[in-house]
Amino acid sequence: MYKETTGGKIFRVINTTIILFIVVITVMPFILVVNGSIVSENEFFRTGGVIFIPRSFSARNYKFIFTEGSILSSFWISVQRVVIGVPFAMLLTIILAYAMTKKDMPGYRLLMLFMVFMMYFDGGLIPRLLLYKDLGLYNNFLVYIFPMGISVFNALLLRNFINTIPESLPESARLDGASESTILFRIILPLAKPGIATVSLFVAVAHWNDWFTAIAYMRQGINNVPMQTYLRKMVTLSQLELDAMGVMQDMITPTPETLKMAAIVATTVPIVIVYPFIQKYFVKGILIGSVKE
Amino acid sequence: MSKGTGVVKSSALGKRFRRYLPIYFLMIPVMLWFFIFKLGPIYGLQIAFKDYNIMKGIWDSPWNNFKHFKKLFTNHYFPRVLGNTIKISFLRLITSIPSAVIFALLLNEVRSMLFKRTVQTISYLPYFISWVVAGGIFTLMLSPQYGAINSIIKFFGGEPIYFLGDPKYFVGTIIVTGIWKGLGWNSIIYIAALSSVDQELYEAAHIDGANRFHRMIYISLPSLAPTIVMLTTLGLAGILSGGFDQIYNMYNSAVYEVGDIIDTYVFRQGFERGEYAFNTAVGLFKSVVAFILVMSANFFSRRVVKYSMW
Repeated sequence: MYKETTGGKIFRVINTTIILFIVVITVMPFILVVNGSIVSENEFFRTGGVIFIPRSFSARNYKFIFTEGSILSSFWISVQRVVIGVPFAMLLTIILAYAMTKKDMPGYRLLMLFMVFMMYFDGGLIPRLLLYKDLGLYNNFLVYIFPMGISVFNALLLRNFINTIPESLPESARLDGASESTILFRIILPLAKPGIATVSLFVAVAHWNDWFTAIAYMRQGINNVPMQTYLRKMVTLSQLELDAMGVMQDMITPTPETLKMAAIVATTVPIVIVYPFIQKYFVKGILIGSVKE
Repeated sequence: MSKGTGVVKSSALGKRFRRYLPIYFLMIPVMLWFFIFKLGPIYGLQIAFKDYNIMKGIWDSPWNNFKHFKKLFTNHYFPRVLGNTIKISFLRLITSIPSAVIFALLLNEVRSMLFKRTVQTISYLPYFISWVVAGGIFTLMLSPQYGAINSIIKFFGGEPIYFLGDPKYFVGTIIVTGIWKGLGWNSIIYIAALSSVDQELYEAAHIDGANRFHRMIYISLPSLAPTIVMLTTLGLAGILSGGFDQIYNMYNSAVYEVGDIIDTYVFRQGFERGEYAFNTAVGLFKSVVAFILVMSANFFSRRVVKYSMW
């Protein structure tokens, strides 16, 4: 290319500095929370929570959380949700996505119109509560599974993936006499694997991060709620409630601030571990989703 | 002739219908799901027009001649939450789009692919955590007692600021933390748009004596214009949303006057205090206006930037 001028060099230095500044701002809250949760009480109070490099170590917060135990049952609820909820949602989403690729199917235009309406129509919180009560979903584990069945957005995303499969493949199968369902399960599904993986991850993260369903549609208790709702309860607990928890466990309650930090770290670690592996799928997904026809 | 083509068409239609029979069959559970979980709430929506009484049930509660809707605008709280919602959404819009565009422009100037990838990967991370986690982190960091930010302020001799408990600071804090969470993710679409700009444009500008800053302002930025218009339109369509997840996890009663939005109000009054009917009316008002806005936004973006959401 061309030779870099002095101005170009200055530009590059400023540019890199700003970007590094943004990176530091992005990761600093995470670092401060992790450090706050692992240092001794003494160090936390002395530094006022500004700990860039921990100088002491204490596992008291984690001991307290895991002895108390509801984090483990919440973890289990979250895992069950993902394991049952994702296949359920994907089955429905795949069928819908495939149907939306069939432009010559009688009723196609009606289907698309209906889906556009479904994408932006919202019945509202309270009618939904009344409905779930009528269906017996209120305070029932299945309320985590059924309502998250289909997101039209995800189905459209998967449809765009399927549309990138060359038409000649299903066409030749059709000439060989394969039925539409055979084509879907034997030809389209194997070829659309990357797309299905991407959308499955969208659904899995949505399940993992959902805290609201349990607050709105489960009777308030801490044992039947997923991780995120457990965390919400932990971070909103007062000193008094925390002390009561300590008495019940026969433990001295750690400082609420550091205890809450430990709860944040414990609920976030699973997503941070899988994050580097799944983020590229997300980016691919969002870009395919924005490709216009 | 018309008769002839009609016959051909209808037989072709019948043939296509038969061919897609397995798909129709598979679609039964899908449609069933939509009818139960998406259209099902419509039945309950009627309580927005009724004096809902749990004993009588949804159907038998008496109609009340739009009482709840009349109350909407005479009620002291509704204008406040409507105003807060629009204000917060608008502030979000005018800060989140420019910040994402600037971040994309900066990254676009980076020549090292490894550095660029690493920065991108880190910048998306906040998007993947829930607002419960992010809200928890910020509540702790911004606490006037042992929060890191206030410790730094105190270290430099300032007075601690109650960011989330003081109406003066609450909205600003919501906007800034919102940018923190969305910056990287929001920039993806702009980075993608920039990577498709014709490199010859940059070469030609260089020969004409444009420096890198000029190229950024006069080539990169204009090439993002359609995307910016599209996302601004979409953002305007979502102006009645305001970000329930974030606000519900960060606000408290001390900042209701500036931070309470339609969704948090409906949830609090409806779920926690059991005022079902009135809050269904509030929710319905929001849904109808939001629906009209989305439809108009799509119409606009289809016309102006030739991009349609569907």
